[in-house]
Amino acid sequence: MKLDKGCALFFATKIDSKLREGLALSKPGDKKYFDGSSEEFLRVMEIGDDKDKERWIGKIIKAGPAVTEVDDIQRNILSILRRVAPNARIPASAVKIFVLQGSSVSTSQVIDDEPDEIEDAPSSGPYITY
Amino acid sequence: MKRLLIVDDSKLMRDMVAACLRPLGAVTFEFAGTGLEAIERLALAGFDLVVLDLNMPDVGGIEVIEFVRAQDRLKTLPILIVTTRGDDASRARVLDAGASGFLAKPFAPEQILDEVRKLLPA
Repeated sequence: MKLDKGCALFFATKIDSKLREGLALSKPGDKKYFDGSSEEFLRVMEIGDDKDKERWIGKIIKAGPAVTEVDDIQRNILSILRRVAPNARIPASAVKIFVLQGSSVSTSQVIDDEPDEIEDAPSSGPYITY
Repeated sequence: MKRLLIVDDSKLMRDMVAACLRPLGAVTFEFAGTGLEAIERLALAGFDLVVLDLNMPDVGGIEVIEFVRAQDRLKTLPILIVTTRGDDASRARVLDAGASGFLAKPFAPEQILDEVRKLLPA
């Protein structure tokens, strides 16, 4: 097992039909909150392969948020979604936390509790990529 | 023209709160990303209202309220607290500390607009 202090996290909720409709109908001025134009705002990401693809919307958070920040992050995301898609009622429990593969990782930030000669078996995903 | 200070460690939330409050009309927004920055701005400039996140990593919202209420010229400045903790005990704690209003996250745009309208001096 390895403790990785470099991988970013993705706090996100799955885009269902209601939310998809809400995002599509959002005001032009609100699209910046989820169009990926700013790292500070929300992003939409895909998970799974072509036949089983899901889209999730959420916020990228750098590794190691304090546990006291988690509730704030989750509620901020819900507040934003209430503005951009007011008809999509999203419960707090719908916000999940994922590790982001491909986020910037410094090898010096990896804490390894296994001997170097043991290779990790590749894990099976699915992964969120961006 | 009214001046509002929006204090939150999330740029996303600062921007979104300002967008929710644009229907107020003749208002200018200023922003602080930390409690310390909020204190610095409040010490230097006059504002008509502060929207203040309670949970920030350096100086928290309660400390900002305490600073504000300790200044004679800021004793009546309306402060709307926005917080993850919506329970009665948390509400009582921030109101006892000197907050003028309280709004729990997540909130709808019209909720924060209503709260600010109630608190903003005519």
